[in-house]
Amino acid sequence: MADPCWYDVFPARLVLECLRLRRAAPSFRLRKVGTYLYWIGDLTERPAGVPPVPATVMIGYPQAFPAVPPDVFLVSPEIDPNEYGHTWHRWANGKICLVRPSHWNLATTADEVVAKVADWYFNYSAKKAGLIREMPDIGRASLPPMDSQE
Amino acid sequence: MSAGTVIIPKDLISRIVEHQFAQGWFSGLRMTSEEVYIALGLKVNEQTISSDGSSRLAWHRAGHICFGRFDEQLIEWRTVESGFFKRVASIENMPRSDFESATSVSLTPEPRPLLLRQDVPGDATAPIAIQVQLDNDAARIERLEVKLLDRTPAPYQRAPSTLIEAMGEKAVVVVGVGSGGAEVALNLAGVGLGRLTVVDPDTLSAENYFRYISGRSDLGRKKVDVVRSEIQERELLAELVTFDFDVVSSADKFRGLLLQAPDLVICATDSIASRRTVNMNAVLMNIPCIIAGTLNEGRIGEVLTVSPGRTPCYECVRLELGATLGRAESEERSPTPYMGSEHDALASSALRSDIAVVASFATRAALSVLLPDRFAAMPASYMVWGREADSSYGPPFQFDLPMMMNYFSAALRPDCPVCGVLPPELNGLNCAVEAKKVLAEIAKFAG
Repeated sequence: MADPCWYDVFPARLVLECLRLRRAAPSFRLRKVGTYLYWIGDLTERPAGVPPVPATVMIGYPQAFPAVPPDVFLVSPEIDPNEYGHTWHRWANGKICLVRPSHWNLATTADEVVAKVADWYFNYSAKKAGLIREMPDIGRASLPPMDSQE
Repeated sequence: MSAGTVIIPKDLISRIVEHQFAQGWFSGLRMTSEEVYIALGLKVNEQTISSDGSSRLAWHRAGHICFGRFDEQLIEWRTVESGFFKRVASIENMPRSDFESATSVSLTPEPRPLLLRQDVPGDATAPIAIQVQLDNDAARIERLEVKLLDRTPAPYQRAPSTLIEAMGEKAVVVVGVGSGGAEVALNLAGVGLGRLTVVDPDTLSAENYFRYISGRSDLGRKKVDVVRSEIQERELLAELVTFDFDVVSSADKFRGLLLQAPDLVICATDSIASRRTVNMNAVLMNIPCIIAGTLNEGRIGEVLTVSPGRTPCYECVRLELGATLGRAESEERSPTPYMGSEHDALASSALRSDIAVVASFATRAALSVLLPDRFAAMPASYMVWGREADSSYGPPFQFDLPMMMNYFSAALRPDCPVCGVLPPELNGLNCAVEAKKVLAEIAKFAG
């Protein structure tokens, strides 16, 4: 008998993840490789004046989920591999750091994660464009109003 | 106090009695640094007889190259007249001539070991062993301790048989066999646990020695294998299964273990992520769980017993401790030792004695889960121990006295993301069925 995946023992959580993310970000698609589930979708919000390059993000569910945070990676655009550490809120392996692991709230669902990644991408774009010096630890950097795209 | 120790498998004595051998030699090992003699066989005339029980002694330290020396003529033995036997057993000196004529041993100024048994047909009474030397024309006699060894181990002779029998039916998984987890594993094996599964990816380092169950002879070995060796060393009878995977990155394998329905899971790991992983999966799979460890450099110990659905889980307690923020007397005082931690790991410089205390409480909590008819439940599911009197934190981490135990009755939390009430949007849904639909839908796109 195969070892149970997290969604085998916690089906309610899988259903909740789907309900909430599909409501908040309907363009995201749920996919599976082997036993690994992940969402893939696009984020489009960028600071005003910054070229509107959409980001494709992957939000994956490790086997210990939800006891540990999901894996969040930027699939595109390509990021300089040297851009990691606290400055960029990114781990050396490219995973985006949205929360200190010991502060992870198990009740956080994928829709909230997408919102945090959207903030991260916004902040990252702003820093790369020289609009801010530091990416904030929490939330979105304060900038002049911008036009957001759906 | 004896001058040394002689260890003899009982079957060798039986052979002597059976064949009525009058004299001969034991062959075996001698610890050159200490007066310990280990008999492994008999030499009678030209005949060599090995002990059936020698396998029990195969791993004695005396067998290590650096410490032992195999000797064909380890200890001489004699069968002597009963009156002489009793006389030698009670004195320290006797005339040389008396000794030599009774034993036919020629004394020398160098001390030599000698084993004596009584010349009584069929008598298998424990022999006596002495160290004897010639001293001013007298035999100077010092007693050696004799340990007779059964062929098969009987490790629980000093434990209640009903306890051992009951524990023999139980299966426990211990996740994390660092200092604390290894102690708990040994504690449970020592009361007759039937099946023990240990999980840990780490190996033993030199810096572990000071508080670990083993030391330098196991440097570099996987800790799960060290636990196996220590259980074998003590001839304990637990069926032991070992895994060296990481319970977080291989949470699916951990769930595979839980499918075997152990009676209890004990988490003695040193990271928050691993504790949360063990807790979550044990609760979801309805396996009782104990989470134990130390905080604050060993000054505080905690043991949480989780009965899924009946008592609060680890997440409930974390929520409860966070909820006490509003009740702290001083905003400057951190309410719990968890707050302000910059590290995911609960790395500790706890003392060996700190670990032993918490391991002892965890063991006792485990016994109340495994054998509730024999061991009463603890007063509360969350126990917190303080090595020192300390008012740095809020309850339950305040201790008026050193070595104090606080029993904290946390509540099952309806907002717990693991064992709490399902969010309203799931009301009316059959989540098992809905989840299957989700998985079937995405199977079309499987990579």
